[in-house]
Amino acid sequence: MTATAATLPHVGVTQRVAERAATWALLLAAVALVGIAAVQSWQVFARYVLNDSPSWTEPVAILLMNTVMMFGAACGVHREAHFGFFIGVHATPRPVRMTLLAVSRLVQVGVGALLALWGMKLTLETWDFPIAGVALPQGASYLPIALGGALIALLSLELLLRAPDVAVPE
Amino acid sequence: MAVAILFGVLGALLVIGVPVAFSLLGAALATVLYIGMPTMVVALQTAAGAGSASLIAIPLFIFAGELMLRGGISDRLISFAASLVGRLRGGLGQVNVLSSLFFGGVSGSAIADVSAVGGTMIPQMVNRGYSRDFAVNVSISAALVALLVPPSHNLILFSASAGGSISIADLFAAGIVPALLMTVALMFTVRMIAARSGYGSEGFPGFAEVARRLVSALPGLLLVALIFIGIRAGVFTAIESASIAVCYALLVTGLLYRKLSRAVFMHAVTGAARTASLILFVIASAASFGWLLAYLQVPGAAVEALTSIADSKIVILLLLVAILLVLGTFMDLAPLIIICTPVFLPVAKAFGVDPVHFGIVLIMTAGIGLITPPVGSVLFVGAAIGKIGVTQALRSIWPFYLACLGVLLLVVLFPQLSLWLPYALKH
Repeated sequence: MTATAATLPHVGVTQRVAERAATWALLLAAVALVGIAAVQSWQVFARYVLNDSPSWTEPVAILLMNTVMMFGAACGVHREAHFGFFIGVHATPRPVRMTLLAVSRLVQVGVGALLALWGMKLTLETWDFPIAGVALPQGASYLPIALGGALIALLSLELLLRAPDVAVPE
Repeated sequence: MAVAILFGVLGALLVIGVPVAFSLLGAALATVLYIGMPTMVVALQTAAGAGSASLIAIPLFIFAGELMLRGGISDRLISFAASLVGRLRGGLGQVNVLSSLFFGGVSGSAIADVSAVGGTMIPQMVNRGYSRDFAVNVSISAALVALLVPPSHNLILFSASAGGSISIADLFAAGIVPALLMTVALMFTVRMIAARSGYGSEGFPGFAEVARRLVSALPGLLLVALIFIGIRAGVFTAIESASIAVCYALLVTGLLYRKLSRAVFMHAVTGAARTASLILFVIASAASFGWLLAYLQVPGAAVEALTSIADSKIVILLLLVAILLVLGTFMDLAPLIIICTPVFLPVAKAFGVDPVHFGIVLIMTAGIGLITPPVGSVLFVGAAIGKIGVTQALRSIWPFYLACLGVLLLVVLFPQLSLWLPYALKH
């Protein structure tokens, strides 16, 4: 009998944790999206009604946009929703397909880890400098890249290590 | 050699199934390592790509489109379209096409359009005796109109991929005549097939009913006018216009139509966050790739190479269209726009093609890719809604496909079709 997520309790737990993390990542991205709408709406109200265009809205909206991008992208890794050219891979025999999927996930682990490292480096290096127009450190803009990159790496790693019968679609 | 590594690694990663965003970063990283630059270059370019303020409009327009998709506006637009063109031959097919023009203007997304209009119209058409593949093909080809009318986020994506130098207002205006042409071409195609297949028409409900349905659909149609006129007149920026669109969509669907329950709102916002994040991630990942293209002088080399093949503006444009059609068969719309714009736009400009005209041609061509297998995301969504296989859908897609290609050819050959309206509105 082939082992599956159901017969391997530790795999099941990892998968459940990954699913939960992906769901929370998407919810965080959704909250950030509502935040962008709120911030930009305030910008319109302040500019046209109060006749006082605030300078903090753009950097805050960019910070929120980075949050949408990185946490939504992390969820997209887990749900395998990213844009790609998969039809060739799915046409290959199963052993080849498993290998290619493993390589693809390994690349995603690597890129996610690099984004996390780069993002953290940029965050730390620019933390002491304020963003023009808002009382936030420049490093805050890079924090979503660091955290989202780490989540991308972890969720890709979970897919990579998942039991092949579960992880490789027919 | 560096250029070969950049494109070779990208191609290899894409072929083995690595998602586009990760392939772009992987290719950029490999090239930077080969050149001997610090890898931090890739990080800085990626961060810069993610930090461009002009991109803020994209997630907001997607959010507004999702709210409209789930908030009851599509039913009213379809009802209004039915009162206008239902009496023509192939009635429900005609309604489907016109509804797509209306809803496309509200959502700006082909997927949203085929989901909203196709989701309602395909089952109705099948119940009234239209073949499933006909119903699916009308829906998916009509959905392409959404890519060309405001607030198409794809046009904003093109502007951003071109470095933000192309006016979004001009692009929005330039898409309108080609969108109307495509609507007319598809309605004509529906009429021809309906006559051959014996499909009938619907009755005319009377002018009073047309007026009643217009009033009901007006809030949705007004959104298009609000966005277009606001940006065109220079009253709002694209970002402000997008945030106004979100507020307006919330008010219309929540207070006026009363369709915006908590569950509907959650579906809309998570759906929008998912779509927007995937597009934004490709944009950020493509930034270092685009920077390397410029650093390695790839656009200049492409211009030189193409100059040796042809020297006519039209021939070059047709050549680019042919390349884009092939690429569009394999690649989805957003990655295609993001990857091809930095390479092809300089070529087009070098041969005297207006960047706004090129943008419309690019979006139309890439849009046709959306209904072409093997990727064709709109084709897959339409086939799934129609409960048929892609192979069955392809049996009768050709008249619609040819109609779209015919309009594309017209727009390529006669730039005035896209450039006239932006020019007229400016002067």
